[in-house]
Amino acid sequence: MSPTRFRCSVLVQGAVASLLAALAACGDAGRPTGETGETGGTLIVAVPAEPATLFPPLAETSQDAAIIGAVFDRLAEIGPELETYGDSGFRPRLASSWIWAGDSLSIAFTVDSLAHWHDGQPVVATDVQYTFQVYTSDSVAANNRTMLGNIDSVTVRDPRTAVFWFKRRTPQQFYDATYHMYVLPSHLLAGTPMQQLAASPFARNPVGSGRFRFGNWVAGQRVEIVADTSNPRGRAKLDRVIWSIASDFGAATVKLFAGEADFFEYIRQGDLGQIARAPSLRLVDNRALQYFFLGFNLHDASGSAAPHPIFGDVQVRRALHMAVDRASVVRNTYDSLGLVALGPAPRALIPDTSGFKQLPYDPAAARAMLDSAGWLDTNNDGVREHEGKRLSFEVLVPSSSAGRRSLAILLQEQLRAVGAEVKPLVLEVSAFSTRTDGRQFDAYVGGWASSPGLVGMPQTWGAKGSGNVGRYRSVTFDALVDSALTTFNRDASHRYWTRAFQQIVNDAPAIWLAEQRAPVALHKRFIVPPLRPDGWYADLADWRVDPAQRIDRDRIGLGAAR
Amino acid sequence: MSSRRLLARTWQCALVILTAATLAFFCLHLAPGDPAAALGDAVPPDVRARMRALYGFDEPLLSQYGRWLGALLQGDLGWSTQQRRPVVDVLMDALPNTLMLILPAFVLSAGIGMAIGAWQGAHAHSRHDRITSTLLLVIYSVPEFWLAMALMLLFARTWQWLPATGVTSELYPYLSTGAQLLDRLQHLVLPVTSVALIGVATFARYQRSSMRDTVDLPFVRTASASGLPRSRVLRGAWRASLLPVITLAGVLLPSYLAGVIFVEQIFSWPGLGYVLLRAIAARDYAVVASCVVLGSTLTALGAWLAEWLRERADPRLRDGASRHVTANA
Repeated sequence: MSPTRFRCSVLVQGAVASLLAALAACGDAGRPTGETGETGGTLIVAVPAEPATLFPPLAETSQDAAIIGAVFDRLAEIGPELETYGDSGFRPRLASSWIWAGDSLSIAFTVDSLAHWHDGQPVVATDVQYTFQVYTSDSVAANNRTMLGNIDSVTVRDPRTAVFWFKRRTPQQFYDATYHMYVLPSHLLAGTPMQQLAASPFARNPVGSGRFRFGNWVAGQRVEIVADTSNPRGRAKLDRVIWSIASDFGAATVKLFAGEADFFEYIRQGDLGQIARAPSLRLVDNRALQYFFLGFNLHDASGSAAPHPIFGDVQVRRALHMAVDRASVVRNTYDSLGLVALGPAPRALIPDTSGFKQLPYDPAAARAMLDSAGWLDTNNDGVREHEGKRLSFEVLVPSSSAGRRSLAILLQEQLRAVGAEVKPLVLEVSAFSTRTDGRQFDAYVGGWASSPGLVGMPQTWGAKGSGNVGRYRSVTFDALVDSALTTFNRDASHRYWTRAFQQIVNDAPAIWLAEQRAPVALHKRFIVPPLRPDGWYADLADWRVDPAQRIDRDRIGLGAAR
Repeated sequence: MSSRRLLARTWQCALVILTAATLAFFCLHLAPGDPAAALGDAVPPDVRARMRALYGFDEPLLSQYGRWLGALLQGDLGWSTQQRRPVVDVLMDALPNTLMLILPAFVLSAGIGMAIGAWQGAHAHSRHDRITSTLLLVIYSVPEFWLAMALMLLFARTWQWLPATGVTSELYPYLSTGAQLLDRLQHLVLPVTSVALIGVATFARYQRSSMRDTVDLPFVRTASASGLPRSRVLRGAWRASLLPVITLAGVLLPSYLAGVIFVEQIFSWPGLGYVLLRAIAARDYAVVASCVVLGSTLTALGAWLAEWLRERADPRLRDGASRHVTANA
């Protein structure tokens, strides 16, 4: 489908959505809250750390993202399938409609005429333009800035129309323009110099346009958001959501089991059984987009450009990959909650998982490959040598991840069987990142969360990608990824992806280890839509409480706090 | 205390505080990583690099130290890179919570510990004294964090009698005034008990030892022989035995600050210890250095307070008296 055909179809959708939203808002005006029906209720989310900021461009943690996602709006919201190709997978949000230019190098978004900020000011096109300036400013260091590289500028055509101008046509233009930015209120922020925005009071007391508005933030204790009853898309069904801040995972888990919290995202393997047995809790499936791997440094660990004495040889990398029984490693680490990773992306995002072949688990073949590469155990100490260098290497592991620690230990055992000595080195997160950023490592157990549409692939595994700390370089892979991301023929895109995955699997810059299902714990009284893989909070405004199961805190209503 | 001695003490304290803060600054900077690296691999390396440039983490260490020291001398504690707000705001939020924990715990442990210790000292070597001493030794030997976790697991998770974590419950703003007060007290019970119990054992041990020594002194024997009621004699002995305990109080008060670090962490109590641990993990240099400055200041104030109290309790320790004693010696 050509992007020029994307236009207009959403005009009607937008108009209907606005009308329905206005009716919904009117309908809510006189309705008592917190008692019966669809609305009312309190959700308490236990989190193991305090949010860092509520300023959208600087969101880092899951807590930041969840609160920001509830308080702010994007121009359009991606659907549950996370389809990034064109605009068909998107639903109107702040933009009620959009029109593609004839050459597809610009999209004009019309801001919903009913949309307003929580302080009552209307949302206007200038807000959209200002938002783009903030996200791309050198003074802000926004996390998503690199994802906005294809947007040349944003202009204001009239008070309700913001036009995005692109550098080149790609199928992901619409996704680029909408997914990475939450629209900011320029009337509140434009007077603050860009370098001071992170420090502005707004960052801890934000004003958004979402179906929840910000309530309060008590440092170290809680953050509260409440339903915005005048939202044109209808009020959030819950009265309030409170993020209850615990000091760590253990304390947050205790809150959940003690009934002080209703929801906890970071369930540890050991707690699953107890949650399943708890009469008030249930596990909700959550397809995470993370995958884990043992990444090799293909160049010297001193940070120089010389090839790594072990991993510079693709035959050795492939042999090590084939020496690992990944199914067993994953089963021992994640039990039934893990799947063997097929490549540098979770299955949910790979267009055709059967189109490319995996390196087989074949220790005998692995030994033969190492022999033929010149790695032999000449002194019978169990470790191979080649030109005076032992087949021995350090694997960096961040101490914060129990799963990754377990993966490293299991790999150590499996690789020992083919004469490779693995020395796991558990480092505190900061030291781990310093070593990987500086390319000063042999191998590391890494984890990436993939972006919808795999648009982040060039950043993570492309030759120029800042996340490609192992310095994997493949002109073929880069070309295939570029073609997959830029072709407008969906079938061709799938074929390019298949070839790209085959290329990187064959090159083995890493051993693709695991992708994890990450179920969340939720109190049984909540009725929730399926959780979106890129963030459980995406449809938080539609969560509701079963009226028959309400407990005391669901009956507080929207009354003001004391 | 003479004004000259006061001035000398002030300089001494300022030097100690500055040295401690400088050591903290350099130790933290010399450890691997920086606030950008502490964000972990969830944040792309190019974003971390931009952050380093933005906040000057890539500048030479001495240059960063000079900038920090200059700001500190002007009363500017800096900027928390983790919480993204001024450090002074971070500390002002945390300090009241820590004091709310420490002060009741200190008063409780001093009061109960001194009472138990005095009773033991007056009944030294009795069967009850031996049982009490054993119990106190057990409590004294238990690490605070273990005690805190045990209390939490029993009272919050298993029996659900008391709230597990936090200063207040999540719905605190929606409670009536009476219920708010009760809610705060309920949240105080477990953390205060965790901090206070160890203190009780410490105070009791010192008080017992001091009391036992005092009751053997000639003036106590004379008072007893003169027919004074035993309760009055013991009250006098207790007052005389206070001196080492007051010294201990001065030393213990700052150590409570260190002690609450783990208790605050376990109970998610957002005080200085909780802030400090998070700041260390996030390499939040300014917050760590400021916590050290604050901790050193409180330690110095605690030492001063103890000295002042000792002088109040024992006139021989005052300026003139001490010179007189030295001359005689």
